[in-house]
Amino acid sequence: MREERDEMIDRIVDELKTLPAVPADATARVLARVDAARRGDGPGTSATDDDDVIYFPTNTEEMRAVQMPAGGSRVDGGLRRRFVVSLPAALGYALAATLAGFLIRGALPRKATAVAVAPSAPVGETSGVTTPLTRVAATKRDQQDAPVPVQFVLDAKRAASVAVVGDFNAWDATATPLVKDSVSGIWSGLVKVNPGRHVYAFLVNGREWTLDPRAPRTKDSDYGTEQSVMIVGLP
Amino acid sequence: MSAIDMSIVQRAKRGDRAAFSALVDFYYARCLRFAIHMLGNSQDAEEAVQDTFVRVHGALNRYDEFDRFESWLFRILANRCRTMMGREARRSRVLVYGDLPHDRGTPPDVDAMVWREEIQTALGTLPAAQREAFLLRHIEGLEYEEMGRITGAGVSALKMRVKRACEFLRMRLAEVERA
Repeated sequence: MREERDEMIDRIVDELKTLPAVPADATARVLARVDAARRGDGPGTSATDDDDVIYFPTNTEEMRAVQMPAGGSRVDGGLRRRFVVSLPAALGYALAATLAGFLIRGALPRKATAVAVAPSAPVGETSGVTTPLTRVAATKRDQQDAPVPVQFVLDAKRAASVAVVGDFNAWDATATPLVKDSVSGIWSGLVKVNPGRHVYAFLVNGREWTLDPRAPRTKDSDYGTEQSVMIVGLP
Repeated sequence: MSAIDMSIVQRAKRGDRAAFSALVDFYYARCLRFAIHMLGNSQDAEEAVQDTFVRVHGALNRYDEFDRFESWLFRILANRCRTMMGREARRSRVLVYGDLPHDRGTPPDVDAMVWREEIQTALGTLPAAQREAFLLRHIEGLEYEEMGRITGAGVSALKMRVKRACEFLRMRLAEVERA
C-alpha cells in the first residue's frame, strides 16, 4: 500500500508534531503517585489493572487484512483454538467444592460444582491431538471471590508466540504468554481469574487477534471488537 | 527525538529512582502530545499520561528488553487512552484548544490559530482507531511492525487505517482552505 504523504499531510503533521508544554511538577506528581501506590493508598500501579481496553480490527475488511499476508494465503491455517482446564485440576476443584458443600450446608452435595464453558473435543487437523482437551472449569471455593486457576490452550503449531489477553490481565499482550509443548505444538498457560464473566482472546505472533471459535462471543461495548466470553464460577 | 539510552531503562528497572525520573522527563512531552491528540482534552490527557507512568513503574520488572522501550511505553499509553475514551464516550466530547504552546514573543497569528483548530477538529472527527494509527505513524514516527505490537492490529490493517485517515484529513482540510 502506498504511503500517503503529500504537502497537505506534511502541513498537518508539522502542526501536530508541536510538543505541548509539560507542567513543571509533572514528574514530581508521577513520583508521588508511585510512592503512594507503594504504600498501598494510591491507584493501581500495574499495567495489568483491570480497566484497560484494547483496540483490534473492527471490520471485516481489516480482519481480512490481518489474517491474509501479502501473498494472499491464510496465516497459520492450521490454527485451532482451544480453551481448557486440565482434567486433574477440574476433578480436584469438583471434589473440593463437593466437600465444602457437605461441610457448609450439612446436606447432600449439590449436583454441579463446576461450570464448563467451551468445547468438549479438539478439532485439530493435525495428528497427535486425540484426547479431548477443550475444557474450562471453575469451582466455587470457600471464598466466593478467590481467583480460580484457568488453563488456556491453543493448538497453533506454526505460531512463533501465543498470548492470552483478556479483561483479567488488562489486555496486556505481555502479561500471559503461553508456553509451547515441543512435542504436540500446543500452547498452554495457567491464569488465575476471579469468578465472574470474562472476555478474552488469543494474540498469535504478537498481532493476530484470534477468537475462540467454540466459545460464545460478544462485542466490545466501546469499539465493537469481537471477543470470546467465559464464565468462571458457579452458575 | 532519539530513543532513550537503554542504560537508563535498565537502571530504572533495577529500582533506580533517579533513572525512572529521567525516563519520565524524557518521554512526558511526547506522551502528552499523543494523549492530547487522542483524547482532545488536556485534563484527560494529563491523567492518562500520569496513569501510564505509574503503571510503567509498576510493570518495569516485566519489561522485556528485546521489545523497544518506546513501543512498550506507547502500548500502555494507548491502552490508557482507549480506557479514557470509553469513559469519555459517555460524556459529550469537548475539544480543548490552546494546549499547544505558541511563540509568546509574537502576536497571535489568527490564520494559524484557525488552521490549528481545524486540524484538531478534523482529527477529533476521525474514528479513534484511524486517529491512533495516524498519530503513531506520522507524529510518533513508528514503524508499522511496532504499531502492530502497540495496537494488536496487523500491518495491513494499520496501513489501511493510516491511508483512510490521510484521505479524510486531506479532504476535510482542503475544504477548509477553499472556504
